[in-house]
Amino acid sequence: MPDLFRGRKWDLVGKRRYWYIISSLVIASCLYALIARGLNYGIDFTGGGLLTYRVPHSIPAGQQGGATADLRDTIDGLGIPNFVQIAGPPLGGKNLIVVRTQFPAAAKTDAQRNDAVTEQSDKILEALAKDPRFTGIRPAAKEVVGSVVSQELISKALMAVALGSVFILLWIMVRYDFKFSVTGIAALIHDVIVQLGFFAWLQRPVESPFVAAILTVVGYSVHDTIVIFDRIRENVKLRKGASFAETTNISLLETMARSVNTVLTVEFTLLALYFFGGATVHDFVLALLIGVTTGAYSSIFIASQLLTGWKEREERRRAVGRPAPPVVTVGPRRRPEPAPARSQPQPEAAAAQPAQATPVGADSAAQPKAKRKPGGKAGKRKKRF
Amino acid sequence: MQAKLRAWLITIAAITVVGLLIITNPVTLVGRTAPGTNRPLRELARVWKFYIYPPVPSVRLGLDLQGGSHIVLRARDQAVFSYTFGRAPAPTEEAAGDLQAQVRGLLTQAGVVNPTVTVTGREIAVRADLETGGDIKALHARVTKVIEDRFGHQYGSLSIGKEETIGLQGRLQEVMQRLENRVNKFGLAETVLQPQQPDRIIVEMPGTEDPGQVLKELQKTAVLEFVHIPRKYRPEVERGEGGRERTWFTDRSGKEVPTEQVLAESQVVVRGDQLMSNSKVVPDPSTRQPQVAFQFKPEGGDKFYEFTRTHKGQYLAIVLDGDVISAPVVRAAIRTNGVIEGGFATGTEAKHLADLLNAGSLPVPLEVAETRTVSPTLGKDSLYKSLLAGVLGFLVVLVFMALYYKVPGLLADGALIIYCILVLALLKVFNATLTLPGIAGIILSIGMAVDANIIIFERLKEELWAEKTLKSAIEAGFKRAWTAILDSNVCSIGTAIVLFLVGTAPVKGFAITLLIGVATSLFTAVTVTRLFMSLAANTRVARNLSWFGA
Repeated sequence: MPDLFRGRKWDLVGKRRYWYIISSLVIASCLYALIARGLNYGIDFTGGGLLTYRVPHSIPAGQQGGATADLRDTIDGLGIPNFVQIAGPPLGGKNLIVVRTQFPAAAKTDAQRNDAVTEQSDKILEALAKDPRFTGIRPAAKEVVGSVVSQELISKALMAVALGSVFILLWIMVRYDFKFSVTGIAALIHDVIVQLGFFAWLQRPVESPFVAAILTVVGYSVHDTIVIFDRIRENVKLRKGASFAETTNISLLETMARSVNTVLTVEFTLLALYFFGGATVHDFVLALLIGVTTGAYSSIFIASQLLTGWKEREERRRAVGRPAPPVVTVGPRRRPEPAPARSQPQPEAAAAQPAQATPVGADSAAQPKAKRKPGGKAGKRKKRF
Repeated sequence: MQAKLRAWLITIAAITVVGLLIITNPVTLVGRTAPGTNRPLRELARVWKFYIYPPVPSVRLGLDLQGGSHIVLRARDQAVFSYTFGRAPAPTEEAAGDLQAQVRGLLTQAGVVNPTVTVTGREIAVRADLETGGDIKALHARVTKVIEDRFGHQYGSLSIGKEETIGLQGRLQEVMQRLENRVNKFGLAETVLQPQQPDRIIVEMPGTEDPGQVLKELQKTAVLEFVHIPRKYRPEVERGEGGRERTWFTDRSGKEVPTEQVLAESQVVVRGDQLMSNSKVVPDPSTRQPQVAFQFKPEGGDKFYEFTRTHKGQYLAIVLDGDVISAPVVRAAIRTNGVIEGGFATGTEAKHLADLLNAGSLPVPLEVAETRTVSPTLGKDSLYKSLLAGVLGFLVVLVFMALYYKVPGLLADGALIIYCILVLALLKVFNATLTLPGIAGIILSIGMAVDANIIIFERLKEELWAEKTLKSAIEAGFKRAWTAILDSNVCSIGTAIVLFLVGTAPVKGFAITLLIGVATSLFTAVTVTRLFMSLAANTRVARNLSWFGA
């Protein structure tokens, strides 16, 4: 297999603005969906009944939309508030009909609610059995969740995400520095918003495995980002003369093959699950697919770019506020090729200097945006590396 | 160097074999049960103390994969409030009974759920259900207002006791024990109970689609009460269908009075918790009718003796969860041994009561908070499909790695197979149940486990492009990939631990899978692959560097 990424000279950091625009649009539309349409919460969150029926044959994809609408009408006719979904693997197979019902207002205690859902289930089955499209329909699963359980689920899930993020923030802060950890978390928040937003757009039901999907993506996104950060940290040490933008771009290109291959292997397995894994895990796998994709995207196009923007401002500020520091000695020569000997934290100077040949050979460093005004505060910041 | 590599190879091979043994579990000391049940499985042979089984993968399957019912029982919280007057509000037992019924009526009117009122001497105690998510202070205020409106300062100053909740908090173990007793006694085998703090009990019934009967047995509070019936009422007994007796009450004019009202006006003498747990069925010496014989504990016996001594000729009712089992007349003072002649239709019915009494009562009623029932057909379908998906995904990853990374890719494939064996074995060691999201998690982790390998192999390529020798490139590749692998995996492990600590039960299960997956992948992707690479570097394959990605 040819190596697609060897010797590429893309300028990813220089096109930063475009990534920001794309991400802003995606985020905005996700937020819009979340506010305007909201998430379609399943019974784990709202409480209610979830009735699953099994049809012994496959309903052609073209007919599913009409059948769903008819189902909804039929069940509305029974006076049961509901949400209907015909679930099934996209590649044929038997279909499941999933009906989510609400508790009748009269049912106050958990016991009454259980009885009410059993009654609803019988009524729906009776009504559906009359429809020739659903001949041979059988009840396959019944779930009833009282609302007490669900409130706890939400608060515990939120707590888990918050504490998980704090842990990640602290760990990156200890191993790298504050800017790395904040931008890493920013990418993570981006991923969670995109995942939630897609589910709001698609109006797919959100059940408790969705929480697990979000948490997995939180872990995955950070995992993915750190591999790039690690390379940036290493290259900062090796390439003392280069601007941060240049270093980031080279690091991104060096790790590009890894970033793509990792997300590919994960997606191979997820796609297998999506297409062959049965209707019951469909939504869970979809959430993971969206999250893993955006997790890989955000590591390259958000975390690293935000970090570069922030570091560049710092470089400019230092260049304006303080005289150039004395010449720094050569860093540890761990690379086979010579590292630049002098450290010149002047962005223009650094950019003018031709970048050293690297294994990947990406020397098209970004020109820092010279037009931007230097930051107001002449910060006295210590460099962490 | 060679000796060291060989030692490592033997260690890893041994770990893999142990993993396979754990998964397939062909040799045990105690015998094996069929998956998800308590049914013993037939062994292939027995050698000395060991049972030998055919090596079949045996991982505990969740109910979503084998079908069955998952029910969460939750304690209905109850509250007890007490009020003490300066003088006793009811001079006689009869008057106390009337007052109880009256206050109970007022409380019900005020919207208090399921109130019970007991008047003893100067004290009135009120017990009532706390609504789901209800506030005990508000309920206390409501009850207090009813009491104050009714009594005012009629019986001297009224002092209000502290409110008290009766729930399962802190008593979950005790309740679990009693429910387990019932499961064992009633032969509800294959029912698995699991406590969930603070006040829930998970009931799992593999293969059952209709959990109704089992639930009925488990939900019974089984509170037995010996109640003194006011003298103005008389019990009547009728032998109904199947020989079962029905007891009801009439007043002096011979009119039927609702049992509920009679019980509200009655005083409880002794409760079932004062019985020893050795009740048994004995036939009536003359009629051969089945009866339940019981024994009081010393304290309860003293109370009962005092009562029976002073109330000869009056009626008692033996009440189980609000149902009158029998209403005998007090003939003699009784201290220790007693008999319930409930007019049981069959010996089985009497035995059932004896078992229920012996299993112990519950401090509060249990309600069904959550039901999840999956039919075995759907379960099998899900299992089959997710296994198919898993195998497919796994194969695609294997092929991709081999094609893209060539020799290192193939070696990583070997490590990945070991990874799968170890993860399944560890899941079994931790007694984790394999659920549908769990399988998805494992399949996902296969994709993530190769990440460490990919990082290493990309490094290896870079080192080879820099014209290093294979051995030094392998050395440098692993060394320099290590910080990235460490930092990224620490974050994953950290999130998994946080999930485990704060998550709800299903999230916890997922967290364990994730934790096992990440930790195992660190071992297989780094240690195992490195060993394989070092071994390969010594073979003829190493002569062609292009097979390593150079």
